[in-house]
Amino acid sequence: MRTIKKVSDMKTRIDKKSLLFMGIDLSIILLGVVILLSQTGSKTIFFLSVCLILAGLIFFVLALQVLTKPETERVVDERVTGINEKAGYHAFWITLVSVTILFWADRIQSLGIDVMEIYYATIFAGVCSWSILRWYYNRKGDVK
Amino acid sequence: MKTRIKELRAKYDLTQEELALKVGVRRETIVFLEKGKYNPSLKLAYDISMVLKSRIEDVFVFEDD
Repeated sequence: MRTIKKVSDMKTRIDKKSLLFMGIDLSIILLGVVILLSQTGSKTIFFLSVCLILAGLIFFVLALQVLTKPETERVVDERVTGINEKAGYHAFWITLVSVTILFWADRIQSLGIDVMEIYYATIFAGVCSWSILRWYYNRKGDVK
Repeated sequence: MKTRIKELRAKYDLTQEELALKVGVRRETIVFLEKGKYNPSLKLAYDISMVLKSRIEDVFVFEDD
C-alpha cells in the first residue's frame, strides 16, 4: 500500500552547507547586535547595525524556508536551468529597453531624471521581469 | 508527445517524488512530462526509461504534428 506523506512528517535537511549558511546568518545578527550595543551615538553605525540584524534575520528565514522544502523541490534540473536562462535573457532585454526609454524620455522631454533614479528603475525592472518570467515559464512547463 | 510514465510508474509502484529522486529532477518536471507539456533531453528520457525498465520508444511516444 502506498502511503501519503503528511506535512508534519517532512524532515528538514541538515547538511554541512545549510549549517554553514545558518551559522553565517547568526554571526551577521550577532555582529549587528554587538555593534548596536557598543555604538558611540553615530547615526551611520546605528544604521549599519540595524541593516546587519535585518539582513541576517531575512537570510535566516529564507534558509529555514529552503530547508523545509522537499529535496525534489530544490533540485536545479534541465527544465529549471532552461527556464532560468530564458527568463534571464528576456529580463536583460526588458531592462535594456526600459533604460533606453527612460534615457530618451529624459532627453526629449527634459524630465530631470538623475543617475540614481535610473539605477533604481533598472534594478526594479530587472528583478521584477526576471521573477515574473520565471513564474510564467515554470507554469508553462517547457520553454523550448 | 505522449508518455506512458504514469502507467509504468503505477506498474512499478513508484510515486512521482520517488521517480524524480531516482532521475535527479524536480517532481514538477515529472508532472509536466506526464502531462506531455515538457520534451525531455535524450539523457533524461534515457534515465527515466532505465528506471521504468523499458525502452525509450515505449515510454515516450512521438506523434507527427
